[in-house]
Formats: sequence, structure tokens, C-alpha cells
Amino acid sequence: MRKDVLIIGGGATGAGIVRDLALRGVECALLEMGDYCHGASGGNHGLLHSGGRYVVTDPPSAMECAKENAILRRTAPFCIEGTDGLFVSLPGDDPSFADPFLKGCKGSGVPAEELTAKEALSAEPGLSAEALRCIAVQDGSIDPFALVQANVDSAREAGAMVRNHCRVTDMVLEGGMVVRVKALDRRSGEILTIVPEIVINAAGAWAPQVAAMAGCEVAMGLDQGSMLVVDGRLCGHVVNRLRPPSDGDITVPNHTATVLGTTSRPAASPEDVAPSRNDMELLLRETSAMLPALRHCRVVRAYGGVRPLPGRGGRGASRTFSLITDERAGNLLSVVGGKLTTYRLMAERVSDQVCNALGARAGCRTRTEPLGPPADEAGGSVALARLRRKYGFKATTVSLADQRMLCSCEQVLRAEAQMVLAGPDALTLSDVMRRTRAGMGYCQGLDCALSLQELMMEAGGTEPLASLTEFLEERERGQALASGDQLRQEVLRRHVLQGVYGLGERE
Amino acid sequence: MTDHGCIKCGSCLRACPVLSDPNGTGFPGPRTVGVDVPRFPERGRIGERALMCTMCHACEWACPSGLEITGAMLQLRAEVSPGLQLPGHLRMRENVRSFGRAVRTEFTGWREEGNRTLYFPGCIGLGPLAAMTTTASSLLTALGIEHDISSRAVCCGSPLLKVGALAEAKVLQHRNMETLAAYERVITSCPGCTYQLREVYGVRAEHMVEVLKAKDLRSKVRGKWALQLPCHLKRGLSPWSAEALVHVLTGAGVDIVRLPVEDRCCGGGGGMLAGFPATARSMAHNKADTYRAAGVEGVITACPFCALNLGREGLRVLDVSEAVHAEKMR
Ligand SMILES: Cc1cc2nc3c(=O)[nH]c(=O)nc-3n(C[C@H](O)[C@H](O)[C@H](O)COP(=O)(O)OP(=O)(O)OC[C@H]3O[C@@H](n4cnc5c(N)ncnc54)[C@H](O)[C@@H]3O)c2cc1C
Ligand code: SF4
Ligand code: SF4
Repeated sequence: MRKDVLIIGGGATGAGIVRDLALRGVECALLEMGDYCHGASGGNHGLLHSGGRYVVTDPPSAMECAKENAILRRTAPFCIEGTDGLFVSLPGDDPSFADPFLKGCKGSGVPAEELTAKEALSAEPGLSAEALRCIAVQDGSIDPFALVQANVDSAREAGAMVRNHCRVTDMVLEGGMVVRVKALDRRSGEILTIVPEIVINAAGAWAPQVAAMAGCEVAMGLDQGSMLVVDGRLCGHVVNRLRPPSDGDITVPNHTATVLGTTSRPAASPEDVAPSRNDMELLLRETSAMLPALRHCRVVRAYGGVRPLPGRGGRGASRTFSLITDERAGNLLSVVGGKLTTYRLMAERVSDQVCNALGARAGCRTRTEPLGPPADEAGGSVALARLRRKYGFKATTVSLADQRMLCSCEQVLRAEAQMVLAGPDALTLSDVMRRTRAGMGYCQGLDCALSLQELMMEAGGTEPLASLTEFLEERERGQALASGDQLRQEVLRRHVLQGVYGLGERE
Repeated sequence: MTDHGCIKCGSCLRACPVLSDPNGTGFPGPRTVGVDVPRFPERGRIGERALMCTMCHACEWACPSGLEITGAMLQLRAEVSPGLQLPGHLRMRENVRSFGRAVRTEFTGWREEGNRTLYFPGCIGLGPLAAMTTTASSLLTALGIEHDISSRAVCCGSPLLKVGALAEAKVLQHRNMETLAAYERVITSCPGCTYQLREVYGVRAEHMVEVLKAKDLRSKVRGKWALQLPCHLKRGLSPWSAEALVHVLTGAGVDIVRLPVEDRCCGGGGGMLAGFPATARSMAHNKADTYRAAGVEGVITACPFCALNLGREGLRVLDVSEAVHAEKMR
């Protein structure tokens, strides 16, 4: 199959690139080995950065975040909650950090405003009464799954070929150019061969491995970060610690949860994502200093991701991105670093370079072209009010004839899963979960897994049993640190799914 | 309810009488309304069917995690009700605004004699069940409890809380507190009023069964009778209040048949009668069928809402005060 451009990796960066190029009329394809967001784009904090976090230590990144934040709020309003953010300092923190912070905000174009203690408490009643200084910024929360899917849908509509569950396995080089790329399609079990003009390596933490297929090197530090999902919204704003970036600094309210994060340690591989008990304790301790209610919260699960950072990685590494070429494979371009928040900008830069190389003159359209409508909360039930929020333009394709519930934690209709199953992307139960949120709530699939399985069997063409086991095991991994009510939940979940139905049982 | 301990066991769903009624399947259910939906930023969009619940507390009793499901449901009702327009609820609120009671008053036997005890029959007892009030009042007199029935006492506010009209309920409370100040003792016939006066007003109100349980009484009825144990008596006030009803009747020599369904909700509470009359009717109808199949003369209860809702199904329904009389009268 001939394509002008092949993009490897379906995280936010790859999805952003394929959309950008497709909208410019470039014939392109994207292959992703897992589901979209299989990497860092799924294992992140979901914070739409205002830029505040980087104003002191990494101003170029802060500047990029501030600009992109404004663009995404405009173009992808459905998957963003404009909660706004607060940076607060507590006793023990250096109170004078607020001054370079405010100055940095000004210098980087990050809108910021200092609040009095009283104003801060009335804006965020759960805030610690000990908060010393408080600065309001324009942070938000973003649903990366919905964002990436919307990019994929838009790229397809513009003519791109986008496939998940297709792993790139080999590259054939001739005369210092990649001439053929081979991939294994999990759906059909077939080998796919693509003949590209240009190959873009957007494989995130796997970028060195993909580059190695073409005999190239990409230097990258891998850095693991952990997050905790707490049931319910324990803050109205994104709440950040006003201090130099450190661990356990940020709480992000999103959907029905509050996500606490993050931590930082060197990762051994892109798959080395597992959070530790220490991470969990640290995150609860640090974030509950800002929001005391977190001491009594219900931790639903812990998860992690691996940051692909330029150079050697770590907290100190810049969060901007770079484009890497290598003469050993002249038509391979690797994209490294960046943030979820800046994915569009990275895509724009990459696409500019690609169009240059191809001699195509079309300009970037993603700065203004909407990815989805604003969430409008219409409808006479919570499930209906959330359709646009989850599916953007596709919300209207959910059939409202049958309004039976599939997942009660997340108020997901059976019809939503049916819509997703009818589309080209859902192969496994987890694929349906990422799109509908069924199974993400506090019962972690107890309520919906079997009904979902039934719907998948009705839809046909998928791998129900294998993917049910995979789904249950994946949910179970997130429960390794469960305690309190969540542990009671997990005991019941295993009793029913393993004990009663004999599913996912292990030696 | 953010640190809730729900484990998705489904016990609340199995216990809910609305969900198991063929006419109640539109109700999202106690777990959705009381546990799941309050976690959503979009919770205000839950829609009017969230109010399709009789506040019978069966879900809460069944919950192994001890969650205060009904309290959480009420909180959500208060949040969403202002945007809802159920005709029956609007009518009820309009009634309260224009004449202080949830339904039109048909009672005429006011007693305003400066007694130290106030008998507080409640809106239904002053409306469609005025005859019950007259009988109950005579029974109290026969028992030597001289009392007033004050025309100035208004709705206790419980029905308004059920439809989320908190501010309006507060106004009623203020009006009633002025009236109640003149009395030392308050006796009620409606467990909803009893609960409201006790738990919300902080007034030591006694329900009729609690007054009767220490008295010498005789049965006024013949044949076998079943019980309708009111939800708001058994699970609202306390299981001991429900036991008191059994005790009063057996003590008086009423031939009682105990049925497993006796403490299942009739469908009359929580604003259902006004808000979702078809569901309230269907629940009563199915329950009445069960009673009829048991071959009893009728049922005895201690709640005007139960009496009204079941009574419409052609079943003989008596309030406890209509089933007994004072020993010394004979
Ligand atoms: C813990 C943590 C917290 C973060 N928090 C935030 C935040 O709050 N806000 C923010 O803006 N950013 C955040 N980030 C950064 C952000 O998540 C990443 O910068 C961004 O998601 C990177 O996207 P990507 O597409 O470049 O990489 P990825 O999402 O990792 O995508 C790479 C993709 O390539 C695929 N792939 C790899 N090899 C192959 C192959 N051989 N064939 C086919 N496909 C392949 C992978 O499966 C993967 O899906 C966080 C990162 C981490 C780790
Ligand atoms: S109070 Fe009764 S009717 Fe209401 S949800 Fe609970 S069990 Fe169902
Ligand atoms: S009974 Fe309690 S624990 Fe069980 S599902 Fe209902 S609310 Fe949850």
C-alpha cells in the first residue's frame, strides 16, 4: 500500500499529526500497536496545563502550554472541563516562590491572578485553611481518550487511514531511505506492508525502538509517574502546590473522579508503569495537605505512565519537544517530548516540515477547525447529558431508542457501547471502556463486564473471551494497592467474577 | 457522598418496591439516585424520574455498607426540584401556598379549647380522611386525653421536603412552631408528620400507636385482618413503633394475620401519590391483590397515606384508631 506519510504511534502526538496532514490534503496513514492512548496519552494526569507549572523552571514550555490551552478550549470544548486552577503554598513552602512565579506568568503569557486567603477559600471551599498564598490560573482537565478519538475521526473523515491494533514490526531500507514498513494487524492476523514517502516516528517512549528498526538512534530518558483515582470530585479547580515542581503537587477533577498526581522515577522500559505503595502514600500525604478531605477519600485505583523526555529525563528535563532526523534513514522523522497539552503544536510543526519535504503548500487548519462541539448537557438524564462530553460530534449517532443502562458508576447506556462496537476501532472490552467509560468507575467492571461481553458477542467480529480476561486482569492490576471500602469492593468483585463465574482465575 | 462505601452488591435494587413494580421501571433506582449520580457534575440533569421513589427506606435497610441512601436522594431532590415541573407536585405546592395544606381541607370539627394536648392529624387526615380524624379524636377523648385540633396548625412540611421545596418547608415550620408553643403534648396519626416534628422541628411528638400501646383497648372489628406496616413508621420512626402497632392490635384482641408483604411499601409516600399517580396506583393495586388473595376482611394500618392509597383499590383499610375502642367505654 502506497502512502505519502506513515505515522507510527497513535498517542496524542501521532493522532494530532495524522489529522493535521489529512486536513492539508496529504495522503497519510497511522498505525498504532495497541489502542490509541496505549502509551503516555492514556497514562497521564489529564491536566490541560495553563503553563503555570513551568513558568519558573521551563518558560518555553510554559509559553507553549498557555497558547495551546487557549486553542484547545476553543477547538475541543467537549472534552475539556474549564475548571481553572489554583496554585497554593502551605506552611513549610517558601512563600517567596510566589513572586518569581507571578513574574514568570507575566513573562510567559500565562494569565494569573493572586487571590486573598478569603477569596481562595470561597472559590475552593475544600482548601486547607493553612494555605498561605494562592494564585489563580487557567488550568483545566481534559479527557485524552475523547481528544485522541476525535483527532482520529476527523483524520478519517479527511481521507486518512487510521488503524489501531497494528504493530509496526520491520522497516526495509534502500539507499538510506525507509522504503517499506511492515506491520502485524491483530484483527486479521495479516502482515500489512506500507510503501511510504516519509515515516514519522511518534512512538513516544517506544521511539528509540521504532528508530532502531531503521538503524537510527533516539536519545531519550524514560521517567515513570504514578497517579491515584479518587471517587467523586473533591475539588472544583485543579489544585497545584505553589513550589518548584515536585511529587504529589496536583489534583485534577475530571468526570466523576479526582486524580492525584504525580511522582517521578527512572523507568526501565516503556512498559514499566506500575505504581508502588510508596507512591500511593506520598500522593495522599502531599495532596491532602492542600485538600484535607482527601484524607477520607476512596481511592479507586492507581495507575502510571512513562514520560518520554528528551535527553536523560527526570523532573528537571524540559517539557518542550524536538524533531529528530538521522541521515541513516533520511525520510524518518522522530518526534520526542512535549505534553498532551501541546500535542497540536507538535503536530503542526511536524506537518509543516513534512509538507515542506513533500512540496505541499497547504497551511495548518487545526488552530481553528473544531474537533467537537461544546458540551451542552441536554437531555433528561445524566447519561444523555454526557453524550456530547464523551463523543463530541459523534454523540448524535448514539441511538436513543433503548435507554437501558450498561454501567451505573459512569452512567453509560448500552446504546453507547453498541455505537462504539459498530465503529472501526473497538476490538477489545478495554477499547469500549476507554471510549464509553464503562468499567472505569468505583466497581471496576463488576457491574458491566458481563453485559459488555454480551454486547460484544452480539456485535460479532471481536474477541470477547480473550478480551474479557485481559480487561479483568487490567482492572485487577489497578487494585493491587486497594484498601478500605475499595478493598471490600474488590473482594466482592473477585468473588463474583472469579468465584461465581470462574473468570480470570489464576493459579 | 464522596467517600461512600458502595460495593455494587445490588441489595438496594432488589429491595426497592418501585423498581419491582411493572409501572416503576422508569425509576433510575436508589443506587443511581443516591450513590452514583451525586458524583457527577451533570447531576442536575437527572430528570424528574429521580423523584419516582416513595422514601420507603427499604433500600437503606438492605444496604450492607450502611449508606444513607434516602438522605442522599433527598439532597439531590432539593438540588434538582426547582427545575422540575411535575404537575402533581406543583399543585401540592400551590395548595400549601394558598391554604397551608397539601390537599383541600374537608374537616370541620376543630377543637380550640385551650387544652394542653394538641392532636395533629396531618393534611390527609384533615382532607380525604376527615372521618378517621373524627374517630381518632373520639378515641383520645374516651381515653381521657382532652385535646385540641387546631385550625392554625398547617402542613408539617414533610411533603415539601420530599419534593425539594426546602424554603417553603421552613416557612411552615415557623408557622407551626408558633401554634405548637401553646401545647405540652403533641399526638399525630401520620408517621411522616411524626418524623418531621421530631427530627426536623425537634418537638417530642408521639404517634398514635405509641399513645395507644399503654392503654386498655378492645377490638371493634370482626374476622381476620392483615397489617399494612407503614414504611415511615417502621423504617422512618423505628421498628419498635411498628411493633407497637402489632402489640396494640393483638392486645385488643384483633385477629391478625401476619403476611410477608405487610411491611412492603404501598406506593403512597414520598410525593409519589401527587407526582406519579399511575405508579402509586399500580403499587397499591398489586399489593391489594396480595391482601385479597390472603382472604382477610381488610387491612389495618397507622398511616393516612397508606390508608388513602390502598383504600382506592376497594380494599377495606382501617386506621388503628378505627379498629379499637377504649375498654372503659363498655
Ligand atoms: C505520569 C504522566 C503524567 C502526565 N501528565 C500530563 C498532564 O497532566 N498534562 C499534559 O499535558 N501532559 C502530561 N503528560 C505528558 C503526556 O502524557 C505525553 O507527553 C503525551 O501523552 C505523549 O504523547 P505521545 O503520543 O507522544 O506518546 P504516547 O502516548 O506514548 O504514544 C506513543 C504510541 O506509540 C505506540 N507505538 C509504540 N511502538 C509502536 C509500534 N512499533 N507500532 C505501532 N505503534 C507503536 C504506542 O503504543 C503508543 O500508543 C504526562 C505524562 C506522564 C507519563
Ligand atoms: S426509599 Fe424505597 S422506593 Fe425509594 S429508592 Fe429506596 S427502596 Fe426504592
Ligand atoms: S445496597 Fe448499598 S452497597 Fe449494595 S449496591 Fe446498594 S448502595 Fe451499594
